[in-house]
Amino acid sequence: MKLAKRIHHNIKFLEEQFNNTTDLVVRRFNINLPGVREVSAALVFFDGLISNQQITDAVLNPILHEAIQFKQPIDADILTFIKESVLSDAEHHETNDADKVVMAILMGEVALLIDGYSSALTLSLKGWQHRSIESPQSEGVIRGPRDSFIEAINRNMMLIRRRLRDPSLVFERIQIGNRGQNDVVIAYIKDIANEDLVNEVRKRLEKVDMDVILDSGYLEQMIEDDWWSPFNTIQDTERPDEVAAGLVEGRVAILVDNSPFALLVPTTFNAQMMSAEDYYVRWPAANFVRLIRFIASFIAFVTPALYISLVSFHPEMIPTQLALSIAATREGLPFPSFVEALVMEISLELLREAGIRLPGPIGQTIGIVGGLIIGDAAVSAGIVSPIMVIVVAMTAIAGFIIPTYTLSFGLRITRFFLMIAASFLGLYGLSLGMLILLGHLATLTSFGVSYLSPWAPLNLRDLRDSVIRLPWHSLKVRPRYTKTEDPTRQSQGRRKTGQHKQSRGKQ
Amino acid sequence: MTMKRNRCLVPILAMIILLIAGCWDAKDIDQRSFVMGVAFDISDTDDQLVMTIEIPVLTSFATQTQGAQSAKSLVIATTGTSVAQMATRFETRTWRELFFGHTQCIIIGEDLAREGILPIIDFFDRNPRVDRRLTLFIAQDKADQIYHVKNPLEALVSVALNQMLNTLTNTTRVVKRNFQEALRDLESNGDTVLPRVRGTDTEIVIAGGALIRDYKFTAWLSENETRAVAFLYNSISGGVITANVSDTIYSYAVRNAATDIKPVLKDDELSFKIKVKSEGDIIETYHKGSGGTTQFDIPKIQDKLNQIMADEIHHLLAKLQELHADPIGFDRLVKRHYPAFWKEHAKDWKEKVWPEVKFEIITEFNIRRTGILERVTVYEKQE
Amino acid sequence: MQEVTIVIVNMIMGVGTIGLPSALARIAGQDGLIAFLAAVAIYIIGTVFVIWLAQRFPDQGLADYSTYLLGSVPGFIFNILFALYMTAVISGIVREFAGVTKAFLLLRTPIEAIIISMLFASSLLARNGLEPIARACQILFYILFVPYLATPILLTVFDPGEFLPLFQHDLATIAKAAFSTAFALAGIEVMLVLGSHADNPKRLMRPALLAVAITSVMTLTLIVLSFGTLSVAQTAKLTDPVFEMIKFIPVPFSILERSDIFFFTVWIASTYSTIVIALFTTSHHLAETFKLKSSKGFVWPICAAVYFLSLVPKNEIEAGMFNDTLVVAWLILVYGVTPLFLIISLFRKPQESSKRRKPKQKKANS
Repeated sequence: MKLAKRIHHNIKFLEEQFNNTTDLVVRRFNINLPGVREVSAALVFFDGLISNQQITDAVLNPILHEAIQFKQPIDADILTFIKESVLSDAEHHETNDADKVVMAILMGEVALLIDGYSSALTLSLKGWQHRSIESPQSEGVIRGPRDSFIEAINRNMMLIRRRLRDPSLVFERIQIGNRGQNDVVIAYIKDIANEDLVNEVRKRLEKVDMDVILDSGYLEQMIEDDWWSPFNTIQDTERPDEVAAGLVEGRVAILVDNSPFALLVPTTFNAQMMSAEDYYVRWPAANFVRLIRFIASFIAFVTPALYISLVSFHPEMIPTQLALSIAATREGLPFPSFVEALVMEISLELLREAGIRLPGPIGQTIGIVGGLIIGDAAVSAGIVSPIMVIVVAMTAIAGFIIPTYTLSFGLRITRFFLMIAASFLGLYGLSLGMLILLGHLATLTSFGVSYLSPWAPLNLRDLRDSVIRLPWHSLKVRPRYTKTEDPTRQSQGRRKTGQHKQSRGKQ
Repeated sequence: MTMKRNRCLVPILAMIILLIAGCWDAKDIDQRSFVMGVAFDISDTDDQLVMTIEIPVLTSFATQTQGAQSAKSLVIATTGTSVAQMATRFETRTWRELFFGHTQCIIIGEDLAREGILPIIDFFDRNPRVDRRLTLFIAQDKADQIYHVKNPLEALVSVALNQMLNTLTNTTRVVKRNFQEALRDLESNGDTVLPRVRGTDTEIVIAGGALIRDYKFTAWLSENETRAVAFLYNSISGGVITANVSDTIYSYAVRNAATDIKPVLKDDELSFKIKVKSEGDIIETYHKGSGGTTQFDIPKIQDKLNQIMADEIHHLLAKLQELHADPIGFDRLVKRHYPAFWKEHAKDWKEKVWPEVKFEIITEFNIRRTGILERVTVYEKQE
Repeated sequence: MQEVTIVIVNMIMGVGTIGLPSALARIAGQDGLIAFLAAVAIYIIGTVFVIWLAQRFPDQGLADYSTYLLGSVPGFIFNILFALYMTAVISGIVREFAGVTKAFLLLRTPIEAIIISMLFASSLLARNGLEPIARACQILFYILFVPYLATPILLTVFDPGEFLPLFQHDLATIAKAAFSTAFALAGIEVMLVLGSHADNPKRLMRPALLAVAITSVMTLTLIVLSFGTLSVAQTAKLTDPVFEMIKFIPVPFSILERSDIFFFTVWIASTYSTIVIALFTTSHHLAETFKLKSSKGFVWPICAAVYFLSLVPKNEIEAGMFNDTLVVAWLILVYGVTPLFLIISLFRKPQESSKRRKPKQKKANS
């Protein structure tokens, strides 16, 4: 629809479009330029999305106060003159499409209407309140940058752009959500990322048909490969350094407005077991921690099931003294080991959830103290055996080591599944359960990449950065799983040890 | 639409089937009776077998309580005609299933062993849960009296027995032979040597050996004879041999020993070359009398040791030949190296051929150190 | 290329290998070793036949080229027979597996439950296609190797004298042992159906032979260790000497008094991978026979057939007879039918078949 020439038509139209909502501001004023008769004009915008200071500085002051001081009469029409010579804002567009004006106002821009002109100017003077940059809530590190994404997408883009001052870094902005029209930005490095991957991301995003995208989680669930799997095939992160690292590896990032979590595709199980810190600390420390992490994740989902299968089905496999001790402590307990394990695990999950919902320090304390007290009380009351408490505690601690919060969910669910399998068929059930899990993981793909890469299919090059991480001097090429166009990360050639050592004599 | 529903249905059905059916093998650990040790005898009154088992009383094992002091075990016995039958009879008295997964030892009484140990062994051999590293003992007199000895150090007699045998590194007076190894010997020719256990009112002694021939107990072997057997079995890991040279008794501690046996067939006459090599130290000199040297005469001591051991081994082999028993497994060696000869003589190996073979025994005992003292401790009379 | 090797290794290593030392010891004593080497030689010949045939028809599976070579009706009959053969093989495997598992792990659980659960678990992966199967097999391949790390420990109780005397048995016995153990290594026949799915269907010989070499070495190690540590006599009397050997490993410091746990898992995993591959092969073959696109739907019916077939033998002895029949069938397939097909294909040159396989879709990360 086209705008009308008369300003009051346009203003009426806009007010109706927005259903006379009270946060729509119509600021009328008159333009008095030398040599031209006075015309009325108006600024239409949403209060709260606009920086009032900027309106004053960029629009009103120049038009009302400075333009008057021009000596010569203007030759072009008022709109063009104002657009090009008066306004001191950074960004504006001219349009005669009324729908576009509506959209612009929704986006937080200011529409400038001038009587007698069927075009309007939309000015970008956004300035709303947002959280300042703080530490990431979910992925803490000791060594490494501590800034995290916030809800404002422009800020987030800035955090990435600051780290990658590469002209090939591209941000593509689209709107998703029928009613929300939320900004979603696809980020990638043009000469590194694989073109098919970027196209696939675009394609999937275009297919999303929802009312509103409130968080990147909505998008994640709409575009992921295997929505029914407990394991996530899209990675989410709060850390700009992780996103930057991912982009440089050839991955594609998706930023969603109003969400501090960015998405990274493609991802693998291996990628999610890595923490940003692994790269900032030195090689021996990084490998030690990584090994522990892998072992811990294995312990986290296998231990309760292993306990059940050994205690109830195959006690001959436990060393004799331990077997006697376990049997002794279980004497007189009312429940079979499976029920015991289930009760303890569920209690732990309850405690964990409660800890998240309670505010601040209370939450932390409840988690730890609650666990200890309840465990102790349960043992004294003769409901569970002390060994079970140890098993559950170990499992919980091991679970916390997993760096990606979403991945730990997958493992928690797996743990219960294995416990059930073990309670029916003992060690055999546990083995079958793990095989089913393996089969499931083997089926998962993330945007065309096997989830179990680099172990299956075997990718020797990528193995350099999996359970162990070779020193940076060996990680000269980008990982292969992203099928990147430009594989070299560092220049080839070995670094000679002692290259930087100065000769001792010259003090 | 139906495809999707079908897809979810079948796994659910499968799960339901499993759930309804239940878990058949789940038996919590505290619902099993751990049989720590078993003893078999012939009953005094009739011809039946007596099976005695030792079960830990679990409540006394909880680590909250005082540990071994208050831990108790239950020793019960029953009679019957076969091991399996007796095992099930126990369940009427302990109301828990007997579990042999942690059985540490099997003791067979002398009288029963004389009649044959095969029926006992068969039951345990077939059971998949049995730990093959358990020890098989032959008891002097009755086996069950072993279980009635109160041991202050360890609550469970069976565990004590097994541990005693396994941690014995400083004695050669007993043969370490676990179930697996004993079976190996027995299956090849029915002969082996098993450790002997003896119980008095207050203590248990493991020393000496029991010679088994054709699955039947035949004779006791003295402690020295057992030592020779241990050397031949190549299972020596320690022990002390004393040698008397010029009025001084030297105690030689064996640190390492290796035995090599080779069959030699010449002109249809079979002989064996046995070479025993040992490394060790002198750990004590016991000087009787008032004179003596201050220097060690190592070669002389070594010679004496060699001679002592060679004699012992000869003596032991002679005894074995007399008894027509071949627990060491010389026949296996013949079978390997001289298959043609073996084929001819396999049938009457123990009766005819074995008693006639000759042995050439070479013993090489090396003394490496003499403790931290360089001299024989002799009080030097100051003139 | 490595996928071919891995799939074949996974297919071969499974139930058959566990009881192998025992069977060899029983029939041929110390000469079992020689019999095994002969079996490997026989097997290599069979592999060459199978791979050669598969390579001659790089775009087609067995179902297609059998009808091409034999004509539609005989070809169809052959295809059905092949499907029945594979079903019988899976039944044999499952039955043997369930029997051993029941004996060692779950004495009271009904054998049906073990069979159903294994078939169910395998069917899940088999339904998902070759790519996920290849990936899972890759991981299982690593797991298969881990038990061999125990070899140095076992060597402490190893007695090389156990292997003498050799050549005590006559050729006939050795030959008999060789042929039946060759079946224990069976698995290469799946390449008849799967050959066309490889990355490079014209160059299968090298990966296949590599797979045979790997499995032969692994099995040989098992046999040697079993004979050496348990002695030939004991190996012969035990039904599953590998497990006994494993129970007997003197783990230093008694960390795990019984290291069985891990080895049982490996055993279950190797059977699982064999069954998955076999299920997929059969369902795929049937799908091709009936000219259907997806093989998913066949998997569960095949599982049902396998289940009922596996319960037919009433005890171990009958199961043994069942197995013997399978050996004969396998020998006919690999050393009779395959060379026959090869000869026919020499006369009827392999041309582009009218039903050309669709160009492979872009495969997920290779």
